[in-house]
Amino acid sequence: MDLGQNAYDFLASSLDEACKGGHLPNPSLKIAAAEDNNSVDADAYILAIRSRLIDLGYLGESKDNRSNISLDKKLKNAIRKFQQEAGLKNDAWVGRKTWGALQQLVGFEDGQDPDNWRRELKENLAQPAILRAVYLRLYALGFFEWSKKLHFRRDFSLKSNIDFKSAFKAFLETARKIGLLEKSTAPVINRTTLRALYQQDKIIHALNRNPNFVLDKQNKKFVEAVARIEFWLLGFNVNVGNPRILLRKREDHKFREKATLLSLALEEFWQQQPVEERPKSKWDKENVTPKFFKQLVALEEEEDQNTENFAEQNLIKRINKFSKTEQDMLENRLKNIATSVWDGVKRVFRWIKRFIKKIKKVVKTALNEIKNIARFIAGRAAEIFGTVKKVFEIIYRGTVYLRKALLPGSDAQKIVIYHDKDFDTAAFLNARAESHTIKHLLDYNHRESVCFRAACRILGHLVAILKRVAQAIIAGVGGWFLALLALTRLAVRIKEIIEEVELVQSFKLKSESSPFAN
Amino acid sequence: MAKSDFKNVLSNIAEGIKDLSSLEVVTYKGTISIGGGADGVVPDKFDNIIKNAKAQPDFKISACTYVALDGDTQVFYDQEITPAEMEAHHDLVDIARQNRQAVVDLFKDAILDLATGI
Repeated sequence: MDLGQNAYDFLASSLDEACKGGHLPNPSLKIAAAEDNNSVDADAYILAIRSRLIDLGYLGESKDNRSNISLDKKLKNAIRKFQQEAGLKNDAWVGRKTWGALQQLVGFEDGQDPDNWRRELKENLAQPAILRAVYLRLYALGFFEWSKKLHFRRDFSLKSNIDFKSAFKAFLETARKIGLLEKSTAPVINRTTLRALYQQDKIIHALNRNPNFVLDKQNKKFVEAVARIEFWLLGFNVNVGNPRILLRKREDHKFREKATLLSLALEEFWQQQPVEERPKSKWDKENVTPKFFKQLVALEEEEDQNTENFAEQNLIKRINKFSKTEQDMLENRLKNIATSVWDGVKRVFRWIKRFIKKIKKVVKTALNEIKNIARFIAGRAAEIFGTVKKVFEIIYRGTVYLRKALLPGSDAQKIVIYHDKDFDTAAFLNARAESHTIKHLLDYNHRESVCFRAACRILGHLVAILKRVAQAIIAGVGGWFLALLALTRLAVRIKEIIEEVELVQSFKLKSESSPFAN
Repeated sequence: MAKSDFKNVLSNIAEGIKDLSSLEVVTYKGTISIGGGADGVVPDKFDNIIKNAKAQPDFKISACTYVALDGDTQVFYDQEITPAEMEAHHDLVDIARQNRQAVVDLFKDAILDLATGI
């Protein structure tokens, strides 16, 4: 059979290239026997874990802790402590459960509803990891003095830490004022209070419904903190938490003037809005006003209108009508998205919204199709990041099964199973073996076979993606769209394969190499 | 990182399709002599085990299945095969078939498609 050697080399080289770039985990690293299991992860994943652990106070705030891509002892200790305090298995391995818990406690993105938190978190809302997360969230929302630096926090008890207790009470009071909580809500950490604290979109809507609250100077700190979070999610150059002041010089001004990142983001935001929507006064453009929240809600509703009308078939036609400059711009942007998808950027969704707004200014055509596709891609970004680790473990495990002629767990006194690379098989059943020991290895053979077949299917999908990418290189901008779409579909297909594997053999992320291994 | 990890992965799989003309599954039954070199918990080579087992008087082939490329199948069963041994053999045949099909599908649908599609 002709294997298409060139195509096969192209596939392998491209995947290896992606691996070197840190976009894919390295499938050749042995998982079960490696000193630490996290060594299969891409650099971006390690950095994302570090960032979240720093946010929760499990790792100290330092340049090295933020940028170190190695899984050093400090990081492993921090992971262990987080796991211990979040009701998770304490193994210093950031698998799906630990990653999910970190995301849910730290993230600001859509879908952070505590009702959907992992079972381990929901089962004990008083556990230390949740208290740390509440502390972090209250800090981000401006309920602590900015002068009290986040990384100096030590005490996470609502009983002994007076500042923490006051901040929590102040938040509950605020939430009651804007209608997020009932007046009778008890001042305790439970699902109701966590829902109010964690659902950024609901806070935005509540502020939109309460213009007088937004205008009240007493609430300025909270209102601005919410705006900073929103801008951060939208991909603007702002920080969450303590506001940063800088000096800037306007073209038509003689002296430099003080500005905050928030005021600059507000100016930029309003610049991106249609002229008729922009505030008239300079003050309104540089401050967080009811109009700002009104515009945020309006944008969100506009985004949601065409979700169901996914019109891929018209997309390429439309893009081809763009000018060369517009196409170049679009292509560059999409290349960035492609990279971001693999890097697991948490802000992709909002960033795409912002990008769409920008491009609307340049391209006068209605771009609902692009908006929908962008949303589609972004919606899948998290799935890709969440599943990619497992994908490569399946590929690795599948190829180990292929490579090992003798099935692990074989025992000459019980049963030995042997297969060669074209799956001619031989088994030796020891006449003295009990039937259950034979069945045990047969079941294991079945489970590993499922894994191997899944690995083959996943590799098949990766080939399909590379084909899309190759076509994209030839086709230009329209091709990039197709490549991105294929990438997102890959996530869906691979997720299905993983679910299949899990269903058949209860495949665990940190799996043993053999059921017989100690 | 090795120079080409994915190349290794795919090479391993590709080697499996060198001989697609047939599939053979054999189930042996017997005992192993203690101290004969194949009595460890984890054996080294299948050949050594069979060599050891063949030296014992109770060694025999319990079942053998041969599947040709065109699907023709020949099956041999020992007269004294137990239902559990029969089931084990069927299991092995079934899994070997599915594994091989997965490799064929990968190269047929994906690699060859890639070769002709760009």
